Amino acid sequence: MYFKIAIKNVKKSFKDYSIYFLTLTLAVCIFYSFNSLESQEVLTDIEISGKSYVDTLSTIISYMSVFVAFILGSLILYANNFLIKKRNKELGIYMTLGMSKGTISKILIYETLLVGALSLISGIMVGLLTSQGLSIMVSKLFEINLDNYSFIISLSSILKTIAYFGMMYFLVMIFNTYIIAKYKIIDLLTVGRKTEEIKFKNPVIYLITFLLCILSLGSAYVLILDVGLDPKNFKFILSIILGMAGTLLFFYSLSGAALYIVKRNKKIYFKGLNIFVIKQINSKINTNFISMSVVCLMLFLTIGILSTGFSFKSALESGLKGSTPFDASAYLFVDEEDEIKNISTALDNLNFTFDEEDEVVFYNEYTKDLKISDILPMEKDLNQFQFEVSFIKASDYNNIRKLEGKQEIQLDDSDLLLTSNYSELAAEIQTFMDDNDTLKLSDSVYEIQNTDVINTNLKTDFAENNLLTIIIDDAFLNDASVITSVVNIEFANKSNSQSKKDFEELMYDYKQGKIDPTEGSFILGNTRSQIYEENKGLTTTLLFVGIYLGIVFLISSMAVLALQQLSEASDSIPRYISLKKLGASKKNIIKTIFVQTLIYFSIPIGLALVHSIVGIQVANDFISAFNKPDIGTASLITAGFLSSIYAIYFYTTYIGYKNIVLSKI
Amino acid sequence: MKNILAVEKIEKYYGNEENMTKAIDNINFEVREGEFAGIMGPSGSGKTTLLNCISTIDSVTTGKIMINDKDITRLKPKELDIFRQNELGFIFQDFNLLDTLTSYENIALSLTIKGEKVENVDEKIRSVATYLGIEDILNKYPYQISGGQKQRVASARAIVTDPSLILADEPTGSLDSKSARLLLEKFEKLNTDLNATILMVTHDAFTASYAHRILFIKDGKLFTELVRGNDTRKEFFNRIIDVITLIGGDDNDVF
Repeated sequence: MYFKIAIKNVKKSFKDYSIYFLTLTLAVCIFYSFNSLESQEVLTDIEISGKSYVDTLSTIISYMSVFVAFILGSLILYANNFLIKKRNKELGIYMTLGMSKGTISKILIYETLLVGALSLISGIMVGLLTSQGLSIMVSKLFEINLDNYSFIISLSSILKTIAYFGMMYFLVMIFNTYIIAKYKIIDLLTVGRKTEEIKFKNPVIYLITFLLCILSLGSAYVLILDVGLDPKNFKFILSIILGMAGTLLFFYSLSGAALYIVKRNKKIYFKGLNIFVIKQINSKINTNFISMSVVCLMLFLTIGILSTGFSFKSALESGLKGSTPFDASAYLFVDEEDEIKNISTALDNLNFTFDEEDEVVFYNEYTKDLKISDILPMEKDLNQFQFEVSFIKASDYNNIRKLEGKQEIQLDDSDLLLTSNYSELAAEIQTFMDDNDTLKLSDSVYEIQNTDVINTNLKTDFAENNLLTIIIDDAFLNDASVITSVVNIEFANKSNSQSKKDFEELMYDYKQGKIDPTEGSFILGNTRSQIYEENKGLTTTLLFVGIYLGIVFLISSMAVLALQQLSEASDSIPRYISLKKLGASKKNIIKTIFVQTLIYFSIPIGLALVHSIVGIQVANDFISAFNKPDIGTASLITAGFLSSIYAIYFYTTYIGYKNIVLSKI
Repeated sequence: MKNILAVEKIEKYYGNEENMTKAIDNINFEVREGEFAGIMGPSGSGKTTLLNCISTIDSVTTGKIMINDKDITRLKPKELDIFRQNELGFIFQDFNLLDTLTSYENIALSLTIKGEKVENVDEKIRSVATYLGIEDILNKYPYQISGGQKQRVASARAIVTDPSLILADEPTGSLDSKSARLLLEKFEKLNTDLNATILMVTHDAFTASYAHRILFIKDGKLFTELVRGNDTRKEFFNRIIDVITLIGGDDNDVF
C-alpha cells in the first residue's frame, strides 16, 4: 500500500523533477566511468619504466572519489531538500488524514530507494558507454595501441558505485526522517501561503558593497597577475582570499545595485514585464547569494582546470621535442671541492661502458660568474635574468652538432654564438640580437655570428631549459671553471640496445639512492623515451584528475542553479496567475521565463569567465616557462563542453519552468 | 446613457451530452456607463462563471457579450489580451498583488503591460494613489501593509489604466468590516467622482448595498433585479436581505 503511494509519487516526480534525475544519473555515470578505469583491460597492460601509470591514476582517482562523493552527497541532500519542501502540503494532508510520522517517513524511504535504484540503473547504463569512451581517450593520451580492444563491464566499480551512492541515499533517508520528525502539521499546510519576507536594505548599502566588491576583485586580479602562480607567496594567498570575498560581495550586492541603477532608467524599468523580471531575479539572488558565489567559484575552477589542463599537457609535450635532441644525456654538477670534475671519469669509476658503436659526445659547461642581466641590457625585469650564463667551447659545440647530424660551424676567436630556447628569454635575446651585432664580455667586444638565436637544448632533458649558453672560442674558457659535465649519447641500436638498458638502470639506481654519490658524484640522466613516458604519465594523471573534478563541479553547479530556478517556478505560480489576470499575454510570460532563466544561469558563469580570463592568463605565464602554450584548442574544447552541459541544463530548466507555470495559468 | 456592457442570451454548459450542467442558463442584462452594479447569488449559482465570462478568462457556449459595443466572444486570443489590458480593470478577493513588487511597482505593472508611455507612468500612479489615499505606502511591499491597504492598492492598479469597466470579484471577501467599509466608500467615490463603471460580484448583503442595482442569480438564471432608486443604504440593505431570504427559502422548500 505504502509502496504503491511511493511508486505513484515517484512517477509524479519524474515529470516535475527531471533535473533531479538528470543530475543523479550524470553523477552515477561519471562516478562509475572514472572508477572503472582500473579495470579497462587495454590500460592494465601498459607498464612504463617499471611502474604502471594507470595504477597510479586509478589510485589517485579512487582517493579523489571520496572527495567527489562528499560533493555529490551534499548536492543530493540539497536537491532532496527542494523535493521535500515542494511537497510540504502533500505531507501535511497525509498527516491530517491520520498518517503517523513513522509511516510518512516510510513512504519517503521507499521513494528514495526507488529513485536511488532507478538513477543507479540508468546512471550505470550510461556509465558503461561513457567509460568505454573514456578508456579510448586514456589510451589515446597514453598512446596505447587499441588492437585488442574489448567492451569491459567492471563489476567491482559497479559495486563501488552502488556502495557510495547507497551511502548517500541512506544519508538522504536519515535526513528526511529527521525533517519529518521535526514538522508540525500547521507549518506543512500553510507553508505555501506564507509569503516569503523580501528584505531589501537601503540601496546605498548595496552600492557601497558593490564598490567594495569591484575594489577587492580588482586588487585580487592585479595581485595575482603580478605575483603569478606561486602558492607560497603571501600575495598569492591574499589575492585568492580577496577574490573569494569579492565574489561573495558581488552576489550580495549585485541585484540591489542593479535594481538601483535600472530604477533610474525609466525606459527599461517601465517597459512591459521588466519590473517583474527584475524583481524576480532580485529576490532570488538576494536569498541565494551564498550558493551562487559557490557555484561561480566552482565554475571558475572547472573552466580553469579544463582549459589550462589540456594546454598544460600539450605545452609540456610539444616542448619535449625540443628538449630531447639526443637518445640520452647524463650530467654531473661540478663544485670546486669535488674530486671528480668530469662525467667520463665518473662513469669509468662505476665501470660503466657504452657499446662500441654508440656515438658519445662529452663536453663541459663553464661559468665566468656572469649573470644574464650583466651582459644583456633587458627592458623587462624577469627573474630568469638572475641566472648565470653558461659557456661552451666551440670545439665541443661542433662535436654536439656532429652528433645531431648538423654541419660544423667555423668560429673565429672574436666571434661567438648565442643559444637559448627558454621561451620568453629566447624572445628577449632575439630582440637584443636584432638591434646589436656585438656583445661585450670581460672587457672585450665579440661579434655575434648568428643572426637568429639558436634555440636548441644542448642535452636531452625534461624541458627546454637552455637559458643562455654562449658558444665561444676554446681559448676564452681555458681558465674558466666547469659547472656541469655532460655526455650526450646516440645509441647504435635504436630499438633494443643493451647499453641503453644499462644506462637506464644506472640512472634509476642513482635516483633510488642505491649508489653512494661519493663513489662517482651524483649523475643525473635520462633517455628520451623515459622522458616521453614519464611526462605522459604525469601530465595525463593530472589531466584526468582535473577533468574528473571539473565535470563534477560543473554538474553540481548547474544542478544547483537549475534546482533553484525550478523551486522558484513553483513558488512563483501565484504571481504568474496574477500577471495573466492583469492581461499579460502568454507569449510575454514565456519570454519573461526565458529571460529570467537565462540571466540566472548567465550571471555566475559570466563572473566565472572573468575570473577565468585572469586565471588562465596567470596559468599561461606559468606554463610558458616550459613552452609557449597553445591555449586555443584547449579553450575551444572546454568552451564546447561547457556550453553543451550548460545548454542541456538551461534548456531542461527553462522547459521545466515553463511547464510548471503554463500548467497553472 | 450608453451601455458599457450588454450580456445577450448567454449560456455556459459543462460536461458532455449525457451529463450536462448548465452553469449559466440564458442570462440577459446591461450595465450602463457610470453605473455601480452588483451581482449576488448563493454559491454554485453561477456568478463566478458569469464574471469569468465577462472578464474573458472563460468563454461562453452561446450568446454574445458586448463591451463598449464590441463582441468579446468573437475576439482572438491576442486581441483578448489587448482588450483585457485596455478595457478591463480587475479587483480580486485575494488581491493578487505580486509579493516581489512594491505597491508602486504593482500599480506600474498594469500600465507597463498595457504599454503605457514611460513618461506618463509616474504621474498616473501618483494621481490615482492620492485619490485612494495610499501615497504613504507606495514604497512598501504587500507583506508590510494591511489587507485593506492591499485592496486599495489593487483598486488603484485596476483603475490606473482608465478601463471602461471595473470588475470586482468579492472585493471585501478578505477584509474586516472596517476596511471593507472604507474600500466601498472609495468605490462609491470612484463611481460618482470619476464616473467609473463598476460590476461587483459578492455574496455579502452589506457590500452589495453600496451598489445602485443588484442582479440576483440562482441556478444559472437571472432570479430578480433590485434597483436602489432613492432608498437610503439602510433601506436598500433590508430589501436585499429580503431577497436573500427568498432565495434561501426556496432551498428550504426542498426539505
